[in-house]
Amino acid sequence: MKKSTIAAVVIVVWGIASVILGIKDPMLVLYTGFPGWIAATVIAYFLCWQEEKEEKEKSRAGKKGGAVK
Amino acid sequence: MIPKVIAIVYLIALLGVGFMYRKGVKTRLDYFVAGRKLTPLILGLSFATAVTGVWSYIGAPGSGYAYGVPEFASFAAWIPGVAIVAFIWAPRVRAKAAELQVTSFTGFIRDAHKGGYPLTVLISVITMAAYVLTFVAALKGLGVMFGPVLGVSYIPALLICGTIIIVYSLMGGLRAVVLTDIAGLAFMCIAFGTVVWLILSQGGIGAVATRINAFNPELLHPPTGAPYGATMAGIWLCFLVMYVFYQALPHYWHYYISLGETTKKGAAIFTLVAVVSVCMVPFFIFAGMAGHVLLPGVLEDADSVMPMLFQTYANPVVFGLFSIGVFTAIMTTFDGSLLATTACVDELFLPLYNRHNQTEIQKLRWGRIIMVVLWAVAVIWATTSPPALMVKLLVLGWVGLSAVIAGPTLCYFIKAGTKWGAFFAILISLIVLVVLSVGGLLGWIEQAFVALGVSIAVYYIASAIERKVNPAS
Repeated sequence: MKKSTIAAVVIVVWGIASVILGIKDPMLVLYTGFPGWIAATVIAYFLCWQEEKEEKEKSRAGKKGGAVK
Repeated sequence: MIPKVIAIVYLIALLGVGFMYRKGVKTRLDYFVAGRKLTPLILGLSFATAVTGVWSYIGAPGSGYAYGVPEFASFAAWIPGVAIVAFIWAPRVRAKAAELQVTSFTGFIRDAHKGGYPLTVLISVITMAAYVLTFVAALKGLGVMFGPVLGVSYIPALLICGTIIIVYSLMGGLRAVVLTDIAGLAFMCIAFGTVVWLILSQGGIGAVATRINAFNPELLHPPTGAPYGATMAGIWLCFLVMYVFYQALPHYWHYYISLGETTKKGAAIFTLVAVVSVCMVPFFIFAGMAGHVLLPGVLEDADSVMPMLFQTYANPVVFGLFSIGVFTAIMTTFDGSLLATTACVDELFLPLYNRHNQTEIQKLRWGRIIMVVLWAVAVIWATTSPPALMVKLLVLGWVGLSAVIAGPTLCYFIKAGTKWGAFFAILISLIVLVVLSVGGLLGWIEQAFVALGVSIAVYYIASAIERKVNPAS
């Protein structure tokens, strides 16, 4: 699975988790649900950044290989 | 005195932003979509202010006051909605908009469906109808909230703020709108700080929650079925579906078609910025709930809970800072939607421009004239009707519009329909929504869901019929 796909899934999964927290006690959504979402999106950003970096390195390596040939 | 000075400096700075960008606007592409060169971070910051906007500072506390804790679920659903749109739909909308060379929501839906003038008229007219309400509500909000800060009455405050918004929007187009929104975000954060201060000054979240619980336990622990007729999970799921389609509103769509690049990292930045701003909103909802225990008596208008709390508990400086935050929130909603609506209405006149061989500069001039006309209609309406916060009306207009256009917007990327499929999806779902609203049948959420279902169903059914009748369509 691509890292960017995992990133999108992380955000949605935390959404489901925060709702489960909300069913138990709605105030938990305020304390943990929303701050957790910020953390989930930061992780998502990091995963996307990594994926983009890897893709750039791959394409650079590909270009170098082509030049040697 | 301090808030007044800050407000005046801020208003002058807004004009400066418009002046700064005026020379960069030479074509309709520059004016309406900033040359399609805006980065996800810049656009995300502006989008964040637009999605939270006036609803967060006035409407969300009002809903917290009226409905209690289930309002958290509605905002919890917003975030995955934004993520789904940022990762899946926005890059596709951007790519298609660049391919079609469109500068408006109307242009996108029409050209993507190879539609003609009837589709242009239908989309532009319903967009205009829904958004004129937004402009009136925004202007009224500016008059109500900003008058006390500037030390003037309702109508002068409304005219001063409205004039400044139209002047910088006319000069700098989308670039000015986006930059002023980002500047506004700073004040919105300060306003958030004043809300946190308010809760802390009353003993913190725990102490206030205990008092709310003693006053009415159902506000924090609602029985199943209240207030939307569903559990927290049910409400969340309903709002998730709603918010995914809600992101297709013309003024949000306008952001997607203005994007300059569409990388996954960009989508993550866009989501991150939107999420951070949306995560402030539950604190406003909580402060709204606290209105029951912090304010004497029962409020007739739930939307007035936040201003009432600040008038009662805050000193004039804190109240002034909160008011400037609300002003910027209203302004960010107003300028972006005014520009997006102008771009839609401008499409109505494109055939006329082309028939008279208008140059790009002349077309741009007409676009600016349309913006002034829309603004003037809203100003006349707002100044000739009584001062009020019309947040509910504004949101109902948006929810209705997003439901009606659901078929030809996001569903287009699942399986594209035809031009008459798009036309009848909007028309029939609009008729259904109007009949339900006028007849007072179902609640507003149920009405929106029925319209959403009708729009999607008619989009595919009418498209299938058209393809059978005319296989080339």
